[in-house]
Amino acid sequence: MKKILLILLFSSSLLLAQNEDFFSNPSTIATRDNSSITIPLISFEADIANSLLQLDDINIFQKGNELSNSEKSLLTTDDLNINFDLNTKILNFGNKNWDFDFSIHSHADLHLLDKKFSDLILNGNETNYDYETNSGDNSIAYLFSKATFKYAFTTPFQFNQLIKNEAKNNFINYLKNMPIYYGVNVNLNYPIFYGEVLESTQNFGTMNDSLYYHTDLKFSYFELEESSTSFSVSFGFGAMLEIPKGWAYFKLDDLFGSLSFENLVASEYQEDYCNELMLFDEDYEPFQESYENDSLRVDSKKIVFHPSLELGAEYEIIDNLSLLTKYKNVQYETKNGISFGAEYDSLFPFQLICGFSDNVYYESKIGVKMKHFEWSVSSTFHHGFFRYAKGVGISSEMMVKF
Amino acid sequence: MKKLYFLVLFVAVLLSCSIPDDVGMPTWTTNFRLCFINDSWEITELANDSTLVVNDDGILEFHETVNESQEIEISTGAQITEEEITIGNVEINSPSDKSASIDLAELAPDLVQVNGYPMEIPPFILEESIVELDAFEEFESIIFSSGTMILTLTNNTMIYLGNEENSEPLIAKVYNYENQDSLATITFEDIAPGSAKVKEIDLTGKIFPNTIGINISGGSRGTDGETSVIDTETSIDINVQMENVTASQVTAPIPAQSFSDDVEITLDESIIVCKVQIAEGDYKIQLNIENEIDLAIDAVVNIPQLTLANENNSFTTTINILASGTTSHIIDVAGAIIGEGSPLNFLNAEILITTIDTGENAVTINSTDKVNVTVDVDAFEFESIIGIIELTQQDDISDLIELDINYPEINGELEFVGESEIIFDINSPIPAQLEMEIIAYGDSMIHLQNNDGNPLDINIPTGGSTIAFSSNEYNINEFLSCLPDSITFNLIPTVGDENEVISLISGDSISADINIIAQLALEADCWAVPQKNGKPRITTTDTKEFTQEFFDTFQEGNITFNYLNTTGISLSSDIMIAKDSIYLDEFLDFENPDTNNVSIFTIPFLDENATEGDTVEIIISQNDLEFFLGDSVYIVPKFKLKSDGSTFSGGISLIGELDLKLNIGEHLMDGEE
Repeated sequence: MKKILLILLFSSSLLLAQNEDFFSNPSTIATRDNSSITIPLISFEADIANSLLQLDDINIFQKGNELSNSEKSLLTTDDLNINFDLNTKILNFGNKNWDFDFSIHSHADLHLLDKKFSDLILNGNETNYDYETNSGDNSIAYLFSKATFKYAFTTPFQFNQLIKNEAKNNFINYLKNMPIYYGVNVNLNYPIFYGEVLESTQNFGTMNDSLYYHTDLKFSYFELEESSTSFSVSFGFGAMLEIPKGWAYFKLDDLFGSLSFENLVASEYQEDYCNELMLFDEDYEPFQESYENDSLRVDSKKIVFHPSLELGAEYEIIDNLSLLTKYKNVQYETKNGISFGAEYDSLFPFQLICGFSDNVYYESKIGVKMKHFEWSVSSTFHHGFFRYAKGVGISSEMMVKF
Repeated sequence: MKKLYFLVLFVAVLLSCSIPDDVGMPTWTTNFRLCFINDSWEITELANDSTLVVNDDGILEFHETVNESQEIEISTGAQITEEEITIGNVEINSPSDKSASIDLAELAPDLVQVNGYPMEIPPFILEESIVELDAFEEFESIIFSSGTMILTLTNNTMIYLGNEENSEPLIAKVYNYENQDSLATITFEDIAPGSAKVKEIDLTGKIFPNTIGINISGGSRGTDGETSVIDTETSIDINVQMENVTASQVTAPIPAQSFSDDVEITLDESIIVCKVQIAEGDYKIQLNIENEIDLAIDAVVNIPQLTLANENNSFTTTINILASGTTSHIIDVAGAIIGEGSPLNFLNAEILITTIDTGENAVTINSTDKVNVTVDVDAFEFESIIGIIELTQQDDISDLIELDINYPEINGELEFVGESEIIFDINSPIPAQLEMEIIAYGDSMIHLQNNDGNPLDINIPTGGSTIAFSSNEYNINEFLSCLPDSITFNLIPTVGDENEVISLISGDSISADINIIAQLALEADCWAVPQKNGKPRITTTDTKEFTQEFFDTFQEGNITFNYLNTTGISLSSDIMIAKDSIYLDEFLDFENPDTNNVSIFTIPFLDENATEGDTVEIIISQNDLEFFLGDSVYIVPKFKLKSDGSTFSGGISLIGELDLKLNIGEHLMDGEE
């Protein structure tokens, strides 16, 4: 039984690679023997992606450009959704096996255009058909700060501390002697902003007997003077295994994390128009009515983070060239899912990553890596490469070590 | 390795996207399909107005119903009846008998009495003798109107009184003792000794004082050959009686006596009453009785045919009137019943007058003395009446009916040609005649009349009856073709029948439901412009929002009409649009409207035979929308009607779908050119 457990732990640890930069995994600072500080503002990570348009499609929006049928077809293929993440490091400072980080995270998931709506605008309508769209529905955006204190245990854990007996199998013995570094972190989450479209429907129809449209929009948002937030504390821990020519690691974070907003401002807007087509009744007047109420309030809104999970492995296949793999699932980030890549480690390290999440993304990272200074920048293309991408990401991180 | 690195960067740059020179909103062409008309117009909608209805066959009818009624008022005029009731022959207390005697010695002074020696007395002439009777206490003077005086002569002598053989009869003269005037002369037959003779004298016309004398004269047959002892102290007894005496004039104590007469109170000659009940109100009969007799009287008035309200018996009253006095008596007849069922030409009042006994006081009464009775009868209205009423004109029934129909402005020929009729449902409790004047006011004033131009008179029997005027006999279609705004009715009812007993109660009325029913069958070849309040129905539409940008947006378009026309009339329509109200007169130019000032959308011919549906399509050009560039436009429809007399039924169903091709772009955005 112990053998099976050890095999499983080892197999898992193979996936845990050290392609995390700058010590986001608390266990990675276990072996650090210096101090470091991240340069604020220059250190950030941003991603924006849409579900419909490739970067090259921006030419559609050339002023005066008359849309071709293929362009119309493109614009009506799917709903237009936009995902946006921005993680800005305000402060990061660490010394040896402890580290303090203060970042601001923003996340937006916007459902801008229903493809039915786009089709109606671009291709026109059919009579006697009830168009119902939900553009904007369920869009959400929030912003919060996260202060994280990490601590790593400098003495690695080894299974032989539990299993004293020497195994006959060398591999088992290797596992028993394999050092596992581990650390913990505690986070203080402070919500800053929240906005959500609670309901958004649009109805339109030119029926045989009437012309009508109906708009219903309900949304709530954080208002500085009226709304309030409260801190929440979350926890995390991570581990890093040293394997032959590589590392395996995992991290579990944001346990019990949540964002709580109170007394959000909410607004409701409705507009109805109905024109019954009665030619012979000269006294008939179309019905038109709008309703607006911005005095609504949402008592509380709580975003409960599911635990953020990262599993990864890094294996050096040749000198300075490692293969990377990682699975990541963080609620307020875009680049989740499983990813594979390669890293060339040198004075100018170079990294290529291909990830599979809701969409395929490709990330390339280059940097400068010196004894007291490190800087890396990366670019990410979602759904495709370059002009065929439907989203881009960029990150930068600059650190001074001393 | 470095070469590979830069190669990758180079490829990346090559594959990178280009950026638009001028980022902005693209343009595109889109279709906007709008069902802008989907309406049906059924004649039942026009029939919402009470004047236009749909009959059971689904055909539109002009249908105006007028309910008129007039309460029948039967009344009598005020009447005055005067009657004199004379007292007639005056009864007096029966005069007492009067007696007197005349001795033989007075009659035969020459006769010598020979004591105890019978002797024969030869005929001789009686000495005229006078005897005064005691005065009558029952009267002072009298002119007899009737009565008999009985004169009895009793011969207590031994001689015969009277000698008729020698033409020397016994004569008794009755005379006025005061002035010796002769009152009566009576000739008796010879009266044998010891017998009596009676003679009656008719007193009629005789004027008597209360003191009279008797003069006896004549011959005597003596003892008529016989012998007899002469006794001169024997006498002739005279007795006077008066029987059954009445006077035409008398001064005397007058006993109570009665006389009566009937007064015929005339009612309105136009009514023969069988039985009526007078309405509640201030209605009265006033009896004025003037007593010209020098006697107080009691007048008992009995009107057998009059029963006052709340009374069970006929009217009776007693009125006391002083001598030579006047009295008025008012009979409140509100609610009273006159008659018992038999026809009455008048109301008979029985008046019984009784004089008051004067006791010992003598008064002078003449048989012509009278009581004057005057009966003032108010004008009556009746709660109910059974009787015979002569023809009586009632108040006019006049009415003005406004027809709430917005007729279109008609240019061309339009005439009603369907089957039309006017039905009178009349209910009258009594026979009547109705004289009618019905006029329609529209484009012209049309009198309803029959084809011969005769006025409208109808006889109405008792009860309900229906009378129909057909357009075959009357000018009903002409009447309606003037498109009347109003109709006036003037009905003059005359009720009554000289030969028929009718029965009415208060509130009974003549009612007439007048139904004008005309199928809307038109002979038309005209333009019709719908009107409202007498003016073309113009819709003003604010077009400020329709800017040049929207105008430019329009590229092409068409309108597809799917229609059903089951009206039975071929229709087409022009919808005219003007950019300024000063051009509104062009709407009524049916021949050559100035298209520089108005734009006309023509909805093509809607075939009357297209009962299964048909489609027409109109191409719209950008120029058609040019007038919408102003602040407002004025829109008015007009319809072309063409019919050869078909009835109007069914309706129109019209679905119009607008298919526009629009150019969308940044020019539509606010603030953008």
